[in-house]
Amino acid sequence: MGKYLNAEVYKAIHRKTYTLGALAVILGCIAAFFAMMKGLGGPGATFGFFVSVLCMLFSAGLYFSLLGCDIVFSDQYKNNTLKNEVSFGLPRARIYLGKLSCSIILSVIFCLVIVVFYLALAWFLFPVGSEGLNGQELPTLGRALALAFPLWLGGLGLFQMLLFLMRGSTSATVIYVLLVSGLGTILRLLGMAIPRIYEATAFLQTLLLQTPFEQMPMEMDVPHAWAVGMGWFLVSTAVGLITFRKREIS
Amino acid sequence: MLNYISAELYKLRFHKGLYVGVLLLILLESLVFLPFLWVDPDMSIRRDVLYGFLVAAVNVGVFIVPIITAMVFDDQHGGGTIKNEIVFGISRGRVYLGKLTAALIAGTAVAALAVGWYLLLAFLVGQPGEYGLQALRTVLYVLALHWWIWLAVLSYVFFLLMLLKSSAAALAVNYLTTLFVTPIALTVAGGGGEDLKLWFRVLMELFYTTPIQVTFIGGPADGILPTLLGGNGLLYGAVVGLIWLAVTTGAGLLIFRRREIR
Repeated sequence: MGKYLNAEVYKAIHRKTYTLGALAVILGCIAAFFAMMKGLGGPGATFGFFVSVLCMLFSAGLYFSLLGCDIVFSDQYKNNTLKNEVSFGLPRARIYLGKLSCSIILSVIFCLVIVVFYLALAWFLFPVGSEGLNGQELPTLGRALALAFPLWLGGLGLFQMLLFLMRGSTSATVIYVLLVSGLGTILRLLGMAIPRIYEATAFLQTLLLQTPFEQMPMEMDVPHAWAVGMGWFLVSTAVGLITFRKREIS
Repeated sequence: MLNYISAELYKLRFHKGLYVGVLLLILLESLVFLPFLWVDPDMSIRRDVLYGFLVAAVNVGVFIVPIITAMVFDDQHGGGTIKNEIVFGISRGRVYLGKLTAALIAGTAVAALAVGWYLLLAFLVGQPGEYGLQALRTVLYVLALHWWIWLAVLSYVFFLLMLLKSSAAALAVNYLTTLFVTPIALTVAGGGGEDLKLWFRVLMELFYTTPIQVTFIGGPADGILPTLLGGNGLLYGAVVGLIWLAVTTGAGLLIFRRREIR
């Protein structure tokens, strides 16, 4: 497993135009954002303000999951490389879990680089504020990260399952987007349309990956986020593994 | 060119995913009418109220258009179909513009079907209201404005699909652009940035989701660009849509002409 994981990480890192290109574009966008904010100025532009903005942006991590998995999976059905791996005799569980672990490692590295880069720029370019840090910003950031991490894992597990289940990455992407950002709307509509099932739809909404992000910053229920995120991660990984083991790779 | 577009549209007729997507969209819309048709047939609602729901809900189009565009494009890099077309000798400009036009026609047809279905149900289920005609006029105005926004999103996503060769990456970048830039653009264009520099305010007014917010329904549009355009919100939407179409298509053509297709 260690060697497989090593090989997957090596492959992903050597897809320079995609992996490093994506990271360079994201860091470039953050730098441009700060350059723009520095030029615009204003008394509200403080380090504490940008920490709060960062917490609010964490929900976008569910869309970064698309990149994290896509870099590793890389349309293997279409390119026939998955067939090669299976024909070579590698156990399917190793292939599935190896690719998932590689996506997680890459995504965590991406996340760390982006967050550290963002905070460093905010720290160097903007004042702490006339009243200094009120002692809440960094603990809030820590709580927001603790809340977001399992939900991002859930997103990675779900998209990886869809990539293995579907033959094309387009359908996997479309279904992922619908599940992550459309299912909540559908449940809300259903609840409004049929009052009798309102409570059931309200309960189902609490199980969605997007919901804890929607409740921020008013409510940050970290244990709930872990339960939801790990629930999606474990169930989707189990379904993906079982289906992949039985599937004919042509 | 016409032959190429018609061939692209012919291919789309056999795309099962597109039919499933449209069916799902229509089913979702029908949910709004469920209480009046099935749960409690004695309940009544006025048509103008139902038209108002559509005006509020039409904003989600910005999130649906990328999905439709990805379905229409259907991973042509992965399928190797673009390579075949290039090898066959079709000019790259025709390939890009033909596929973009076909996607635009298909997208408009899907939108017309979805909106038409909603309006039909609203007409059949809703009771005549005092402001029925006025509300219908507002709906048509808002839809005409949104069509330009959808055009901008479609051309942007199409450009990303051509550039990135991966639907997942293209959709991720598009959603991230919408999620990150919209709050800033709407705050600035909504009157929250009067102290900001002129170039930045104009840039934010040119973002594709901005016309949705700053254009007061049926009334005059505020802001630097809308004022320059005589306060005509529809014209403002059209200018933003056409600028996005021109810039993304120009950039897409430039890149597509120089890239090696494998």
